[in-house]
Amino acid sequence: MIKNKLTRLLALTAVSTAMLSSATFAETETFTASVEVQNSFDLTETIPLSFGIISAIFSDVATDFSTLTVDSDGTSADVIVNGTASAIVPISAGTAGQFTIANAAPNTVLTIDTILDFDLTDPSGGTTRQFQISGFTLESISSGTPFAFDTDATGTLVFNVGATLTTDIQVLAAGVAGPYDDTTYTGTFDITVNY
Amino acid sequence: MFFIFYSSSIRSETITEVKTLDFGVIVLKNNNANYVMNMTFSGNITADPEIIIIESGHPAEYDLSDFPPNTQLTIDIIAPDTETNLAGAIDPSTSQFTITNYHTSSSIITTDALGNATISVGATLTSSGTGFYKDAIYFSYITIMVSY
Repeated sequence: MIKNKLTRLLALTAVSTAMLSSATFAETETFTASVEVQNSFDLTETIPLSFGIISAIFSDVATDFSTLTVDSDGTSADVIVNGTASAIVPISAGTAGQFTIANAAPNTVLTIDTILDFDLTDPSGGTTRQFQISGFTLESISSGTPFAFDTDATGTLVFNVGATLTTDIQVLAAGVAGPYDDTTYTGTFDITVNY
Repeated sequence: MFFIFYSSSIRSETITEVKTLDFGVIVLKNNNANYVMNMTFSGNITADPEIIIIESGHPAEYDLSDFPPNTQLTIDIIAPDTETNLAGAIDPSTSQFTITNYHTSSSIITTDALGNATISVGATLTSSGTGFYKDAIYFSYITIMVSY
């Protein structure tokens, strides 16, 4: 009797083993896949574009105007006087604007859009005289290679902006000429940089 | 009498993520067409010129441990939804990517004498071709199933 019982149990064991060996074991886990988009970067003005301190006279003759150019290389400021009715005399030198792009893609060419002309006015409204700012120039100060306006390995680009200041040619209808009021004339402009 | 069968059941097969599948940090210059980044399981990355890579990503790496030694394992990768989501928020104002073509070096691998193996997973990232991408982390789920 004991032997028969053992035989039946062994047989049952063999059947169960065969069933399990044909079963499939599966382990399943869920994870993530990701990407980070960083289309934006930082554009900071580190040195304001300034034409310094000047003595200036505006004209009532259309062809008489004076210009003061601040080069984008920041090394010179040139005055050109057209005619005899206007004048600019630099008292202290201006500075090219300097801008820093950071956190951009490394070693990547960037495109700086054309800067639109704008005016410098007296923010207090004490005078209606103004200057016109135009003729913008760009110069790369610190960049990658081999392009002028590409970022370096850290995603940084530093560039200067130069421009030309012109005495008022918008007030000719007033039929007057004379010196500008002593004040600080200011204006704003946009710089747009794209990949 | 069935105690003998539990010897296989106490095995604690585990799948551990060593590296997440990461397409890195990118700039998408334009989204006016479907732009693609391919990442192979071995880590080779190619991308359309409209995708600028700020930081390179890497394929996923998973450790398989405590499987039967010297045993063939079948690897299945299941992506319930190929479209990504924004991490931490649902934002319909941004476009989404699709992640497809999940792959490993082989769908069948063999464990070593200790019952361990490693798999790497690559995939393809594709932009939507329309709309705007916010600066954000986009993610999608994948499920790894290992069977034998």
